[in-house]
Amino acid sequence: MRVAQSGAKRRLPLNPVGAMPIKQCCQQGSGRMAGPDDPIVALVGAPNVGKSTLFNALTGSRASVGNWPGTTVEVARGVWRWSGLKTCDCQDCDCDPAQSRGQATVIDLPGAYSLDSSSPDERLTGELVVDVPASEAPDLVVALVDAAHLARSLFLVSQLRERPRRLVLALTMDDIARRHGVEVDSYALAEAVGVPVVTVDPRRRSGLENLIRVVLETLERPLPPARPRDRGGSRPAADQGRPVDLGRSADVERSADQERSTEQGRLADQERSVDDERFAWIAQAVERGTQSSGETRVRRSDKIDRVVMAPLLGPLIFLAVMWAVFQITTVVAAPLQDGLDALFSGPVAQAAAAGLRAVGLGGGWVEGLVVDGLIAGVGSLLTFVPLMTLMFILLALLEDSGYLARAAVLTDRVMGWLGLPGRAFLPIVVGFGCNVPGIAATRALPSARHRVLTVLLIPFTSCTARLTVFVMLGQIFFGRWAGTAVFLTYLASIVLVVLGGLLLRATLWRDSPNEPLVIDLPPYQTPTLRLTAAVTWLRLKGFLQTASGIIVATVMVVWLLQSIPLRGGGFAQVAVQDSLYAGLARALSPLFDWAGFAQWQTVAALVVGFVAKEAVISSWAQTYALASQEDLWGLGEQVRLAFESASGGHTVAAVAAFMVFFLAYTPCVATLAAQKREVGWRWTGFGVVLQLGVAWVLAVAVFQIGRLLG
Amino acid sequence: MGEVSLTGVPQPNQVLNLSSAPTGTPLTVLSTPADPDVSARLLALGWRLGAQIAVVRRSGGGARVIELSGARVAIGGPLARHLAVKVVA
Repeated sequence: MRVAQSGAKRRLPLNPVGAMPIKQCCQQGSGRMAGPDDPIVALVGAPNVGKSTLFNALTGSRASVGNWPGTTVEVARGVWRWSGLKTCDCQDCDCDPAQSRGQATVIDLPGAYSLDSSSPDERLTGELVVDVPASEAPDLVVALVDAAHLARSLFLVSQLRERPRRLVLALTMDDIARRHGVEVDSYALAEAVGVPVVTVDPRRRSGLENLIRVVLETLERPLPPARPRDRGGSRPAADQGRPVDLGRSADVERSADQERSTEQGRLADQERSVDDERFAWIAQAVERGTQSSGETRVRRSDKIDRVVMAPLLGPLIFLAVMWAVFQITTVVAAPLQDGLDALFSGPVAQAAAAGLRAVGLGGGWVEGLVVDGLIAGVGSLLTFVPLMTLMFILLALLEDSGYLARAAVLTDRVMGWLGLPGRAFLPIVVGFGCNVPGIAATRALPSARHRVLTVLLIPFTSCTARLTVFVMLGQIFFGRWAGTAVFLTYLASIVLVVLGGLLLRATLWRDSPNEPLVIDLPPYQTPTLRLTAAVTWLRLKGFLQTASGIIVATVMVVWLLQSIPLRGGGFAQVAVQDSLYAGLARALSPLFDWAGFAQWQTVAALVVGFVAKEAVISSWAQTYALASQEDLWGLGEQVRLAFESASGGHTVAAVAAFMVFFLAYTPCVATLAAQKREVGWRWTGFGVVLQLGVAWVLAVAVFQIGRLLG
Repeated sequence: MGEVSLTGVPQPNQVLNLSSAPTGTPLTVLSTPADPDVSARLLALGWRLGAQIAVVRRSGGGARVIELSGARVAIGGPLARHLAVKVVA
């Protein structure tokens, strides 16, 4: 394994004060690592400290990473392998480092500022690291510590060190600390905290080799005993120990005395005393471990925030950023989509047909299934890869740069109207990329009510799979205004989220108070190509994996339904309008008479869209291709004709109604699965009924109003 | 407990709520949120009785961005109105 060395100035403190010296041969050490009994190493730390990036660097796998709180929403697990390392301290060791190999299981726990949090994410960290029996606990905990915000990062460490766990500190953000005029001396810090410290930069993969050595050394040691909190720390000054109750400041002395006289007050004092000791320990560790240049220059992040968080300019910039994102995804992606479309409908389809004819399968139902079903369906999906890629790149850039955390602050007041905290904005924004990770990200919300409410609202966010259909309809019906039409669907989506939130808040959660905004603002950073590419690939891969499996299954089911005759013909030899598929769609289509799109192919596409929005265009392509193979009209013209005939000439009103329905009803089965996982079947079922009801009512309203207007 | 400013300029030892505290002035934390969950969350970020902080800016959306343990933390307007701070003498 070749990994760059970190910028540590002196030998790493492998043997902190009080620890026994290690004389374990690297051969023995690595031998113990091999096999099913791999040690388990847990990564813990505050959000934004680089945990997921370190996890990716160690394991080569790709956990979801970003520069805003709540990115790690589930526990990621991976295998950390190394080889060719001299891992022991022996002076006259004759082992061959080239032969040494080892591996460990690494778990990437959700970001946590402390072990006392009520957020399920942060609670999970406490449960998996601290509350489990020793036999089930990780063998070693790597606590990531932000060098630029050392005091804050050490709070979690102050709690961890009170437990009997092997602990190693990985110091990140050293470069940012230096830019702020703070030098962290890892050796002095290790002496101060009594735990090995390794400087790493997971974004640039430096320091990892040292981390392996220190982890291996520490694993060889026995479990440390639970450490009592240090006594004799500096006590707070007189006015620091008594809380002020605003609005009754004249009675402060009396109320503080009353509090002390009660049991509750006594416990509060005890807790404060414990925290004082922790902070005293942190203060001495920071003092011994850092040197400040004393510079007080305005930080770059503050300069940027002065503009992007300004009371009036900030929200305008936020809207401009969102608008730019969607313009780029529609305007830039279009020519790329056209090129891929031409490739699949032309050379690929022709080659497949020729191949089938060569093996004697041409002309029959097999060619129909392969060329008009599978290739048309998968081709339609793949033509939208450029669109998805652009969307995910932009989202990754916004996350990694640190801007999304600012957006959460700017939107806190608006979110408060919905009864949601600013932090709920983050999962909702993710929902605009894909509802499934958005719903998973609601785990970062501490309150069960907020989780349920957010999970119910996220399906109203217009995901990129829906975007593909909106872009197509925009191009067919709105010409050069296509970009604006798509942008309007996003505005409609935001309105739906707001109205849905107001409705639910006014009905189900009328008496619940708002959660106050408390959010960490990470320093801005320039997104790295590696990280952006990794996140984009992770999401694109997830999208393709989810979508392709569902699409293949959907296309097969649709093809099967189309092959079963209702009247005339045999299996796979029936005209599509005479098939079971058309019969089912026709049975459902009267439901959409008032919405102006009671046309069976359109309704069939909605049925497929319930399974996966990605499959809607392929469903259209397939039904129209099978329905009129001799017709030279393109798919767009077929869809246009369908809307014209079903709406009695009020085409634009019908398309608008369809787009609203498409926006509001159930996103996909994968979303339902994610909802079930987070809030259970009861709320998931409630959400489905809510979405279908809202979608139908709005679609009817839009069509009827549009028809009246002309 | 604190002195009241008659001029609108914060005076040393004046007790204010965080929402009305001026930007750039060193402040001492005098109270923690009543809600234990919020209190624990702020504590982990460094908000405790006696801690030194400063309001960095009043943000769009009504929040206050403060300097806390050397980092930037945004606190929503409604919460900021219930947190007492004192101007450092």
